[in-house]
Amino acid sequence: MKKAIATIAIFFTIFCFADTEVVEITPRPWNGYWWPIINGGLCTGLDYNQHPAPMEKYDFATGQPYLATMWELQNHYNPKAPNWWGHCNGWAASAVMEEEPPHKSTYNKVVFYVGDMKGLLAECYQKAYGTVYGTRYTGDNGDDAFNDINPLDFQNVLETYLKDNGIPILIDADPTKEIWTYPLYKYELSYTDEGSTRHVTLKIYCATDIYDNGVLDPDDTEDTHFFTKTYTYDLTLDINGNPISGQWTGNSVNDHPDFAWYPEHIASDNPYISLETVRTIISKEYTSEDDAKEPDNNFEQSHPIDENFIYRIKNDDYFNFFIEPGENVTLKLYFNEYSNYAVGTIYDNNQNFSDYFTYDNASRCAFYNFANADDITNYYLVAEYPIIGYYNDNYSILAEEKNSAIIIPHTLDTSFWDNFVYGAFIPYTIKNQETNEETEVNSAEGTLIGIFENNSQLIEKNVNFTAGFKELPLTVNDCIPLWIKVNCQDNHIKLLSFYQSEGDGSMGLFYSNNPAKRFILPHVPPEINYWWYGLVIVNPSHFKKIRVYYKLYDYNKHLLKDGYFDLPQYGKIVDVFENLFPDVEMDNTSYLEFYSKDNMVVSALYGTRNHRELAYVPADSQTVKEGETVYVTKDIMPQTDNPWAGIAIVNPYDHKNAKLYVTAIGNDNSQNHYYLTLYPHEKKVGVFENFLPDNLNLDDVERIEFKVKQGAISIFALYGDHDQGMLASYLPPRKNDGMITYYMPNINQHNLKTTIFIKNEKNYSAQVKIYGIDQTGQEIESIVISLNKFELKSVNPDEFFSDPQSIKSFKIYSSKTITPFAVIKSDDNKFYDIIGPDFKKETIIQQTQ
Amino acid sequence: MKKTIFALFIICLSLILPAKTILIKGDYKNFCGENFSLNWKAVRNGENIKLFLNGKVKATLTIKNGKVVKITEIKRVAGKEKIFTVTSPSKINLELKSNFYPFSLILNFLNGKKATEEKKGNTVFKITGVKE
Repeated sequence: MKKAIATIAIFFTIFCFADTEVVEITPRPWNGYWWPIINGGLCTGLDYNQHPAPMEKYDFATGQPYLATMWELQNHYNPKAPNWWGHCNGWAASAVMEEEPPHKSTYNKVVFYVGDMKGLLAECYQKAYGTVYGTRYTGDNGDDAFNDINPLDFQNVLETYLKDNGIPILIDADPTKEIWTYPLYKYELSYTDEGSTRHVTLKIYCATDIYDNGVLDPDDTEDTHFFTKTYTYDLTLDINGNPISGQWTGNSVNDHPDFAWYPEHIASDNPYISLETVRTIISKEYTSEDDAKEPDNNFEQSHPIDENFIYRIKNDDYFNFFIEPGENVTLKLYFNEYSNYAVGTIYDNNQNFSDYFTYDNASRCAFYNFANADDITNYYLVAEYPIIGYYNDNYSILAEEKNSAIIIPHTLDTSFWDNFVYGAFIPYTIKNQETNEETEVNSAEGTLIGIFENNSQLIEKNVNFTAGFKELPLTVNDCIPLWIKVNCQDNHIKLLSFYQSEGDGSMGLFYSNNPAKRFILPHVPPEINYWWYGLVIVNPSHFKKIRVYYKLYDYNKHLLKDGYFDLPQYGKIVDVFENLFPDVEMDNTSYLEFYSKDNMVVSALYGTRNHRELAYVPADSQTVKEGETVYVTKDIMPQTDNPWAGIAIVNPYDHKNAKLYVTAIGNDNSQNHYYLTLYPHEKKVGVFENFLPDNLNLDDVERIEFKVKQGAISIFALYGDHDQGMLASYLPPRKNDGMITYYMPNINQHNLKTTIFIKNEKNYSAQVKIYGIDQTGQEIESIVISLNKFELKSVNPDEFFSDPQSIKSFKIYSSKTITPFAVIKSDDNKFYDIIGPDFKKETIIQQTQ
Repeated sequence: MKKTIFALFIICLSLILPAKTILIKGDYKNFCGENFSLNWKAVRNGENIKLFLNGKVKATLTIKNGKVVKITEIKRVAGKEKIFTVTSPSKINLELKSNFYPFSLILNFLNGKKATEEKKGNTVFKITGVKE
């Protein structure tokens, strides 16, 4: 019996006085952090321990690079989110259901702090749910939901959980629609009776999810942080003195708990984190060891920097890296143990001391900026053993790349193909939001870099890019790189890479890509012997390895295959579909998606097996979003005898239908509408006429518009000729009315000639002004052409301009809706390709504070 | 002697109530507004009812003379499973309203009432099968 009493006393103590009762649970729920969405600290390290952040450590230690981090970045990091959104419910649920992590641990050579483990537990419990007492007030579900929880019910809940069972309870302490969840572990209840009314004062004690300085102490296991709140209410008593109803009084009328709950069903929001694995991490001891990249103890044994590696240090670690002309890179050294400070030293290629990193208290990292390199320059970085105290913890190296990289991911270095590249700067306008002042940006400098098997080489420095497309050098010592890029400060530089078959073949064309984290390839062609279909993927960083995940979907909207490719620094993968995905049939594959935590470049290639044709297919990194309209015009394949136009549309999202409002515009300006719904991962593909309503003939139609009413889509248009092996494709332009300026190259070398085509998309006449632009970007000549309604007109520079050889680009300007495109071909039609309306002048609104 | 007779009477009462298994689907909406489902199994043995979740006993209703006199639930607390007990009538009434445990649906169903119940917080319980 004594034993039983002692056991009870461990869990709670009760002091009963005449009118006061104090109940406290021991051990009390542990302190933690609410990981607000605006900072995304679990994946960004912001407002916590910087890098490596808890999710980065989890991914690295469990060998699933970036998955949990990437999910967290996409779903739980939003600087514009309401400032109360966070993980308070996940933390509070884990704080009552799990034992507190007792000490820091080492799991697969990565150190996890107590704060990291508490953060991972908070995520594991983020979707926990259970018994709820009271109704959550949502802001629009009425006064009753605001007024409850009824104080008598609340008191009963506290007594049942804390007093009768020694179990804490969670409360939403905020009666408004916001939720602020805390574990309640102690209360003091006092009352006075006055007739049939009992006046009650209730003081509650809750564990906090934030500390005095606003930052979670990664090592804290003290659990001394709490807050109290005092509520008042009246209970009505029956004739036996038992409470039968209650109501809040005083300030508590408007400031009382919204509801109370206890978690019963455990669920993580992030699908890439497992509670069992987190519990295993918590169960481990802390061990002193180095990272898996040792030895890296001197210059000779130095490793290339890998941003995505989580390092540990027992002695000095040596790294090597290089900086290219045109790059503006800040290397950041994050030491996870913030009570120490980070030390980094730069040495030159001859191992001579160059400079120290600077420590920045605000971002808790040491940094060094590299810019204005004259040539590709090699350096060493030594991450040094801190002077103060023993240190054996994590650190990360991050390269903050402030320059843009414009990439052509594929070159051809065979005698069969002649590869040449053109580049230009597409001018744009910056408009000040406040003053409406407009600034024209007409040129930018860039540095052309070629990436080879084991290194990068400078092709040409300080290239001045203007609106005039000019041919760029492609080789270094007569060798063609594997891929090329332009380092620049302005991503409006565009490159065109042409591939001419030397045999009896034709010509392909690649547009430059800006690196992105997600690409959709909306179409995989059917398996035809004559054609092959391939992919090229490039890692644009020389500071980190990247993992590129892929998903292949079938025509039934199901996932057909998923997996990943690992690419080393500056790595490139190029191969045909059947080699990349040997167990998948192209015929069964509807579309492909690629995604990564890091930037990458992905493109598709079509080609004929006899090398007659090579065609680029754009990968979409933007998608067409709700409210946007794109259109596909019919007549973009002129000068061939038997043309066809095709459209592929994909809904690349998991849960939301895409609803499109489709309008077919007839040549009598009639508009025929219908709705098109695409379920998640559904694709619609067909020739142009398949997208027309039944009552319309192809001959009667000018274009089709697709307005996204709900969800988002990826769409591209493909053009070809039934009798010739030629293909051209582009991402359809957004529809916009009003003044518009396009740029088109005038390629008149390599046996090529350019003809401009302009389609008037309206049923009234339009005037279009076309400027000829020389290599310096100057407008040297202009013409005006008139278009009748829906007219397609060709503009042969030899006929319309006096000095076509000096013209490198055309600037096409109109206040009407027009679609320009350029046909680039040789006189014998052997080489033929189309450039769509891809180079449009933008106006960028400059935000003011 | 009287006590023995009374005890036997209770046992007899229990024996005449046939064992019954009730399958219940609970559709819940969590705090993130997302739906999830749980499949419960309630087994009446005598007067008492055990509620199983994922093959394990999660709660028990102790019933005497048709009235719930005790509720026990298995809760996870600080890494361990703990039995949570409610015996006070007013607190039992509060617990029977639970939006997580299908207590009231089961009791109402056994009394011949409807096989579906919607609770606060958008929980919907539905009887999906009964085995005698």
